Amino acid sequence: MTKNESQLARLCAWAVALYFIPFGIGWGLLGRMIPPYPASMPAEELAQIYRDNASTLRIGFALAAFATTFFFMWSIGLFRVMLATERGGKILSYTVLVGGVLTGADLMFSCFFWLTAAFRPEQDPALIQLLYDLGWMWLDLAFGVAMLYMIGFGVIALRDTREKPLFPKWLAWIGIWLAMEFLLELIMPYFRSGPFSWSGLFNFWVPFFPPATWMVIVSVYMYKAAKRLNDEYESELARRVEETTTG
Amino acid sequence: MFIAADASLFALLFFQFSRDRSSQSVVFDEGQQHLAVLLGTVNTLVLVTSSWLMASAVRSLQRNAVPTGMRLIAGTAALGLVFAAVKIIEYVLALRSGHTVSTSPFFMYYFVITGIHLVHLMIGVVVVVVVGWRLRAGIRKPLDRTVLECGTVYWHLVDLLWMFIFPMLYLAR
Amino acid sequence: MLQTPNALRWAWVGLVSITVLSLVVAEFTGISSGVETAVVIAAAATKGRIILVRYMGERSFPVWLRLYFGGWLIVCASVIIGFHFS
Repeated sequence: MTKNESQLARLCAWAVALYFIPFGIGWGLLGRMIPPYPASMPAEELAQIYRDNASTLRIGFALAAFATTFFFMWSIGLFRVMLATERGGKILSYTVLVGGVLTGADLMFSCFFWLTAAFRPEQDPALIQLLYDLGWMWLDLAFGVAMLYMIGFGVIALRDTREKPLFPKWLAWIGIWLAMEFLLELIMPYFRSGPFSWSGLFNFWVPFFPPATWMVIVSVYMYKAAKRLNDEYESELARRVEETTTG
Repeated sequence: MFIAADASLFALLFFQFSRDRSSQSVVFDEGQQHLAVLLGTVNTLVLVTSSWLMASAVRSLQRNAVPTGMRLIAGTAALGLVFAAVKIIEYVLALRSGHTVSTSPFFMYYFVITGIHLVHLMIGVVVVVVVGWRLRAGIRKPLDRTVLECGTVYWHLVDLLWMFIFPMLYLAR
Repeated sequence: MLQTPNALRWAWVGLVSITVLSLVVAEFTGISSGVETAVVIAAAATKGRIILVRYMGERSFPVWLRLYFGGWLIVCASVIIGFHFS
């Protein structure tokens, strides 16, 4: 990886913070999504909350949607690093790219539903509830795209034959397991309450926070990997130069 | 690492089940009455036997007794399918008597926990078959050994989890 | 992971016996529910331990994994029993 690419890739690793902080504040805090309002909440109550807090909700979701731009940046940087890590053909790296970008899109678009609800909260409560439900169905059930990039990443990392792999094997395995865990979301639409609903232990807390932590750890290794790849490139270049001049 | 993570998910499920149960023990006990304990026991024995076969298969393969190993692996996979069949019969019986996921919290947990376990088991059957296929000529490379170990450990994990799931759902009162 | 055929067979016998015993205790005796739960879950943990050591070859696992599974058995059993008595 050239110096320029390496620097940009490292910048993309940092983008994870630029994504998480505004997204956390916008979606989680201002958007009142941590924890989310349960599916069992009556439409009237939900609509009232949206009427009372319309301004902060609007800012929150608009900010969150924008924050996902940095998720995209992160994905592209990750893709470039995985491209250099992947042994053999590059299909898995492209899977990481597509999965990552679509996950960002999933996050971004879901914000628009909640934003719309906050835009005109004086309308029929049933409509507010519809928009709220839509956001959750969209966000939770598009998990397949996240599986793509997490498993793609995991497999590439596991197949790395360097003496000191660019990404630790345990990180790859945890990523693969977290991705499989998303499958629990498949039963989410059956429940309006309880631990398997969108606000429950298994379909909110477990699929959101451990993967978020994992992403941060991946970013740390991504940063280091970009540096190492540049070093590898520089030493390979120096070696070739020496070969031609002394040959 | 993966196995440990999977085990923790189930630990969380057990925790959540027990917590909810303690606040609604009447509903849970009532639901439990409707479970086919005998079928559950049969399944326990089936799974335990399959683990025995799998462990024996590993031993055979390590001693290069490949045909025996292959037979034992086939037996393991077959018992896995038996478990699945019995489980499905149980589900059908439960559904026929009008119990579904939304009947009560107990049945929600019953279907979800055994369902997730069943999915793990089906994946396990595939894993066992793949391991058998890969090692059909015996252990030739160090990687073969690793594949055998990982596949076997996963299968035993499925068994281990059921050791807790069965008494927790069917027997504990 | 080398276990003798005898050891594996006895492990199976142990597992089957404990299973049948649990069934009998749960379904055919009249002991109080709390005790019954404790017995049945303790049996589960025991069976878990047998599977871990005899079949999974726990002795050859790295230390942290051995600690993890040991802890897992204890925590799961305690949590289930604990909630039963609360």
